[in-house]
Amino acid sequence: MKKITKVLSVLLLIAMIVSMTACSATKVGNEQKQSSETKAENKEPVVVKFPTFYIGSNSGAEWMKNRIETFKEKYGDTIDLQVEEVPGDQAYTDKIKVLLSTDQLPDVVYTGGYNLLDDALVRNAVVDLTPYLEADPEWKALFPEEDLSFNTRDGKVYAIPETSSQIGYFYNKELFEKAGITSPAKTWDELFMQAEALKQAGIVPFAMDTADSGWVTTLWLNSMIGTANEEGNKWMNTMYPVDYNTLEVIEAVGKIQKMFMNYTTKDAVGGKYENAANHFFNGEVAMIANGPWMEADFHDTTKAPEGFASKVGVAMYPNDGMFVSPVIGMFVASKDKEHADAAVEWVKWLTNEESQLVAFETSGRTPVTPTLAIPEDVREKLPLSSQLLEMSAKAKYKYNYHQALWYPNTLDAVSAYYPMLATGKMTPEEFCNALSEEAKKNQ
Amino acid sequence: MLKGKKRSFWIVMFLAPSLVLFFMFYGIPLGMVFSTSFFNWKLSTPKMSFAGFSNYMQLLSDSSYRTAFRNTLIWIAIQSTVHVSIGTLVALTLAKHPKGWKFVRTSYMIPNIISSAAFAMIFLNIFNAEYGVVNNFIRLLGFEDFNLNWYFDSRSAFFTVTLSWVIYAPVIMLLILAEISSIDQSILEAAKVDGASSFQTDIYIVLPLLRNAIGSSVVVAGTSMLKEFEHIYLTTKGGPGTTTLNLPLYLYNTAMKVNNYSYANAVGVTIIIIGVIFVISINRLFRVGHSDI
Amino acid sequence: MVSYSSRRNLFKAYVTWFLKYLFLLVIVIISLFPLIWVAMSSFKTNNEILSNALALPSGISFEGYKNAFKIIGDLTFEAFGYRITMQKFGMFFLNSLYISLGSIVVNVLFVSMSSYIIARYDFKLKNVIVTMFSMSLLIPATSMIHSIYILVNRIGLNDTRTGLILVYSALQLPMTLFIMRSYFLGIPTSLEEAAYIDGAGFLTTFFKIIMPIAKPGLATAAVLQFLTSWNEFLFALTLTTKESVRTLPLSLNYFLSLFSFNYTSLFAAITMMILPSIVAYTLLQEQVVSSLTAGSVKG
Repeated sequence: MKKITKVLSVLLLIAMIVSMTACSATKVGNEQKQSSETKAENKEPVVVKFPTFYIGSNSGAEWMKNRIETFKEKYGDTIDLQVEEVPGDQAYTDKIKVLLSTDQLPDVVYTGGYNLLDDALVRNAVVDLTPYLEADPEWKALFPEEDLSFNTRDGKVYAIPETSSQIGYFYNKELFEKAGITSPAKTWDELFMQAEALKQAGIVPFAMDTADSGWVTTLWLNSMIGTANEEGNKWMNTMYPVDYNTLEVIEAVGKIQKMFMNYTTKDAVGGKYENAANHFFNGEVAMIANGPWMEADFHDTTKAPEGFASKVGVAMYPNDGMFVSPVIGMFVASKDKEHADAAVEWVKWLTNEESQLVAFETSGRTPVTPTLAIPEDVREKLPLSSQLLEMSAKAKYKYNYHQALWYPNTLDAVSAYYPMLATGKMTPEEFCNALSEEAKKNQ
Repeated sequence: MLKGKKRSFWIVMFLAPSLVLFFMFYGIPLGMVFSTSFFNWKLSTPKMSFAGFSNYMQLLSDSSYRTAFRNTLIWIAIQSTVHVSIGTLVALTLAKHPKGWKFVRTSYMIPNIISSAAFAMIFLNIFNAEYGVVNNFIRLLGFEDFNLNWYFDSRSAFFTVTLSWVIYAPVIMLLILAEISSIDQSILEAAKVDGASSFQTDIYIVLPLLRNAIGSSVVVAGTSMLKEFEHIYLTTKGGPGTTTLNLPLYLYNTAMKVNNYSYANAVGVTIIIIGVIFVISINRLFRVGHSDI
Repeated sequence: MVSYSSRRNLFKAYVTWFLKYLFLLVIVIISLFPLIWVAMSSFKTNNEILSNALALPSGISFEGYKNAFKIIGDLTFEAFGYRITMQKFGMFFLNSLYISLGSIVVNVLFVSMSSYIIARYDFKLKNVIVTMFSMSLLIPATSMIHSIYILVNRIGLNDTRTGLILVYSALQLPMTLFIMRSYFLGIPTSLEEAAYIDGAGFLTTFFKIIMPIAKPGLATAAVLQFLTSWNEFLFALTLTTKESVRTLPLSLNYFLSLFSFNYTSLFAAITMMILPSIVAYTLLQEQVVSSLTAGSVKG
């Protein structure tokens, strides 16, 4: 290599590294001496270890940042909150599992709904929160009976949620108008007729995907099952089902197959959430099933065109169905009372009214307290999420979703088998059979 | 060479650091993998209970395992032959220093510098049914309705996954190149003087001299198929159905999703056994470890 | 006048020449295309990336790069009596660099020593040891995670860069063994014998004579160790908690969560991760080539 090129490359390399690692430094002189003196007088603050994945581009990152900063301001002297950033939801769950299996759980665990509580309970790793609830009735009053009992085992409350789930579906009002549709479908038959009408108008009816358990696809599946009848609804509220070969499920899978084959985009099979979302933002697709956290994206001009937000409406599923269900909350796994007490302070901070309000404001997270007062300006910023809050009371069929209820390997199987279902290589019965087989492996 | 006490002394001294490293980080995990495969150890059972051979019996009747087993063997075969050939071909071509050979050598390494997550994302986008480069290119060639969903159509999924690792053989290229550089130039000169074309020199003289490196490459390539699962996990997750499921992915799912650690370790033991048989056979075949000089 | 057979030879020569360069061109295209695509995409908006793979970006915007730093955030810590604030991405980069270089030193040094012995001498248990070392090529990382986690905690190396250096050196043990053993076998023993006759000791012979000749092999092993350490994710995730110790592969996850995606920043981060390594690698390759021509095997 010529000498000049070599020198230039080295300079370039140094420039790159310096620009990435640029830092600022300020001398720490007297302040340090003073603080260490005062520290010697008071007790050492109690350490609360808290890993979390609500960082980076996660929609709850702003909420979490707010909570951490305000907590440290208030409790900084007595409680040392050590936050560990674990980027990626899956990475978080994997790490907690490794820690659990070596009995080294951190003080507070919050998976955002994924159920690790029962596995942790088997190892006696979880602190009973009932006495703490009893001692603070104001705090306890925030949580509806339903949400607490979802997190109760053997009469003891082990986890506290700060959110509950409410999911409907979003539709593009402009595209609906083009196809002559006046309002969201009231029955499943009507929905499929609307799909036909949209197709005739050259619009793709549904945004679908198959990766990561086919989130937007499976929400439709869950709704079909949950609104079919009593049995279907019960099934769609059961934790860890093993038998997927029920009438309601098979029928619903058949409808999904129809949707894949006729009413969605060419890259739905194998598609990820972002592909489905992008089609919706582009105005190519009329309907997408997803939760209130998506509302912020409608205003994001790197994702959706200017003014897109005003074209979007939110609806309940046919048969007045809606995802309304409690969520597995955060639990405490500290090994002694001192740490547990401190950890509970942090849990309280994450679940109090202020926290729920911040969560709703910054990411549309549904508050667990139904009577939470939401100021007018926030309602105006998030009209769709606010509408959802009111709709949930009117829902006739309430049910939960697959990621909260089904075994993880079954969720993976959903992704693996959807492509075969979508191309007709598998019948609905075979699909349900495959899911049941996978689920049974967990026993 | 060294004899007697001095010999033993240096043998021990030079082996010791690696042995310590090995025992600390492999010895114990290896022991655990073997022993726990005979127990019942899940996330949900805090106490392990002895289970004898039941995990292994279960493997025999597990259809997903059988599919994963078969796919893995096929991939080992393909990787040991096609992949190594491609890498060797690149090495042989570059060894003659054609114009720009350094550039090619550096470029070929680049895909390996990209992490698996990034790489999988890039490939998913390139092979996307609707807006991917590949399909768009094929449509340009005249097949306007071409819509094959490369990663998710059961006809092409296996091929697409294989493509992602077969064509990138910089490691093999490096192994062979390093060995070529130790070939005595005088042998090659003698061949030239005798009138051999460069092609004949390659086939009859260079390749046999590369016996060790090729043998090692086959071992490395084949056994990499016993570990490779990240790309599959990040794209097809073993699907459609179980078309692209292999043993390492099956192990990962069993350990991390079903949380059945003992069963996963039984799968792990079978992986190790396949690997040992493979390594021993290849070493015998290529007589690796013996010097020609 | 040109004879028929020599014209045929000329034709063959052209065809060979053409095929050779076509082959190399294909190799270059498949190698560089992913990188170019990523770099181009780092200038597109999320919408553009997901809608059309080949289109050129509508404008060159460094938003993605700015956001990449913002999303990952910065870190403030105290060292040498100063309170330092640094971009976490830069911190991850330096950590990855340090750990990769450290593991190269440990791995290449330890394993080339052992490979030399294995290549030159026969002794009891030799086959057992070689088989054992080779076996480590076969054990899946997933199976090892539990025991290594416990072990690293016991020695007190959890959450340290040194812990990762040791783990990564161990992971690459079999590969370096194969490379170096193969290389040492290709060096004629006459060199060592000449050295002993001249009165050199074992250690001197190894480090002053053999190792310099083995530079190409060493460089190969070093490159492969670098790649393993640079891209390793699972152990980096499990064995560390403090951001001050974290490495680059984890940084990509900051941009991907279940419903929030930011492809622009993700690709910007990937480009930033790759470019310096390419430059560094290119420079390193130079070292290998120059040493190849400087000292060579004497027959």
